[in-house]
Amino acid sequence: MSTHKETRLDIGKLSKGGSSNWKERAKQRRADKPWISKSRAIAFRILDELKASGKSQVWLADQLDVKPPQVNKWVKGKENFTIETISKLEIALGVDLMRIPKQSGEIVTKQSKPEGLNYFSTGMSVQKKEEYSSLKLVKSYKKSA
Amino acid sequence: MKIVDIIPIIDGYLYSVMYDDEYESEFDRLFELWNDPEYVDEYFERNRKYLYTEYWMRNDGLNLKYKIPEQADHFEHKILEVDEILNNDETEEERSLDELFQPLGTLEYERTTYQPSKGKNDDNPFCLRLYAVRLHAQQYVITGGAIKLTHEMNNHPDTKLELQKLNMVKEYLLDQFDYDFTPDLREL
Repeated sequence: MSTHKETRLDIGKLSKGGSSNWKERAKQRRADKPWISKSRAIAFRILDELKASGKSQVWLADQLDVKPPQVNKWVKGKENFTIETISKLEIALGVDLMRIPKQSGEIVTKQSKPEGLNYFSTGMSVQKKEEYSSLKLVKSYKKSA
Repeated sequence: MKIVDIIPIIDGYLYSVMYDDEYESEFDRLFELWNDPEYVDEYFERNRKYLYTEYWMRNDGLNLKYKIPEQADHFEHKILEVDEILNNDETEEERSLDELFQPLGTLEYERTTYQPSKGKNDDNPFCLRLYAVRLHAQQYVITGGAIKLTHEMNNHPDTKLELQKLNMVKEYLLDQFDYDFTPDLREL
């Protein structure tokens, strides 16, 4: 009985010599995933903001004093942005592109744990949970200091 | 549109057509596009009307564009895994490409030769498609692909074109292999 391998067609004979480097590209995308995902999210945000305000990539290039191809690279989601570039983009577009969790010192004035209440079972947002965790850390630090 | 090359993606198993109006294989072209926020944004802007359906209202269609590059990543990883299986562990060969691709018709269950087939991404909503002609067990030739926004392929110009490409490549392959492989299956 013949196996699939033995009866497989020689599709390679139809090839005219072209090749693909998809494996290298795919492996690179996988390696870069932690920052590429964020870069793409920023790209979509830039595109959305430009569309909402009726402005173009050329306008944005002018605002940041860069050439239009640079802006085009940003909206293709392949740019490993510096904090400086993100800050300039935020000013030009008038939006937050990346948010940093607030300092724990500020949270003390905003959040306080109600007595006898399990704070983590009340459907609190992830952000609030993080803020509350920071608060606990500050308290334990003060206690041990 | 003419076929200018059949390019190996997983040598011996998975191939992709390259057409005369493109400079790379359909497989390479599609993954580059799906990973490009500018292209995806423009595509969804151009096809906004297809998202105002009950299905897409239920499935957050207006935010679908943000998920496309991530879904493409997952799809690509799945193909990388198949590549690793086929190149490293032939005992697992039986369940790799024939799992990735299914017959195009929803009521088709049997796998046949020269069968129009589709590969989908794994995560909901399943809107990324690679289209291919199945030549033999574990042997496919990719003809194209799409971000599928309508249930019926004939209801969107892009997927309608993909149907034509599938048929064109199937005919080309039938001619190339000169019927000696499965002459009785030409009518599939």
